[in-house]
Amino acid sequence: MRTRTFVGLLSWVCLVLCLYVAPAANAATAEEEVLQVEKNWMKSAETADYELFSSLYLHSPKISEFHPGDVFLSQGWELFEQNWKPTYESTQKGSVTMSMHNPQVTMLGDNVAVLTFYQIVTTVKDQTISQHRVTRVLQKIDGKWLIVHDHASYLPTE
Amino acid sequence: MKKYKICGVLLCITLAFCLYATPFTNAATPEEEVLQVVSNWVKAFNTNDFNLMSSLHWNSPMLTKFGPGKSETFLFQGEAILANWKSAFVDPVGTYANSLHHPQVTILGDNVAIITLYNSQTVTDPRTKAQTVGLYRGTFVVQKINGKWLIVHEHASVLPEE
Repeated sequence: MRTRTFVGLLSWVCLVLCLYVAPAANAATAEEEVLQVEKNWMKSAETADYELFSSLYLHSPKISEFHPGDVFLSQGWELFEQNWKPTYESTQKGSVTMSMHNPQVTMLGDNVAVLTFYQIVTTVKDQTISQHRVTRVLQKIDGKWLIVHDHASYLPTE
Repeated sequence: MKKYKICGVLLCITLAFCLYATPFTNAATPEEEVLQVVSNWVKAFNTNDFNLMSSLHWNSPMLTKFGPGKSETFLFQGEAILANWKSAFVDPVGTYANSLHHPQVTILGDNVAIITLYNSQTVTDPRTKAQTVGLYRGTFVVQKINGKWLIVHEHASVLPEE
């Protein structure tokens, strides 16, 4: 009887230990989840996948973007769609390659993150390179990280 | 006796109304509080007030900034940002005259906000008095920490030529 109690107790301890360890091994950290959004952004550009691109943004009038080549702020998902959809539709899959350098994620609480990095865009056909500094602000909404603001700029020359 | 009771109830109602209305009329909205950060930022910049500028920033190694100039090509972090402000404020007061345009605030949750704006900056050479004008786009990310809105990230870039 004593042995059975001991084995039972040991089994419970093992079970609790397994439950404690198992999720930690699989779950991505918030920083990794945020970086995954950017990896998907690059994938969407390289594969000209507008649906993927669209899924990364909050579809709301409050989102905004300073694009490297545009003077004025783009605001609201409708304007994003007007700007980006034709670009994606006119881009051939595999015509650009993207890379992210020195990414840094700053968590502001549990649900907002700031991602900064350098982006290099290479046009495959003529090997033209464009370098940007990028800030993305992301918010976790209903369990999913979504981009709510972009500021991308060319490397300063002066 | 009945009169006293009515007066007492009436006074209580008046007092309750006063307590309810007073803070509401004085309290700034989160948007107004957030805009105050950039108003103070421009004030500090234009008057070389390092203490004010410093008080607007998150005192953390996680503070980050992409500046608009070539010397700020790479991400500045933590104390390096304040050191950079300190070196800029060595120039005489009046060297930098900034004016902000179209500031817009987006509140994210309870304690984070994004401010987007344009900055028109006139730099006057202290020696020759020659002036140059720079136009910039700015993003500030601010967080309310211990009841105070602080800059946690800034990205400023030159306005592209059309």
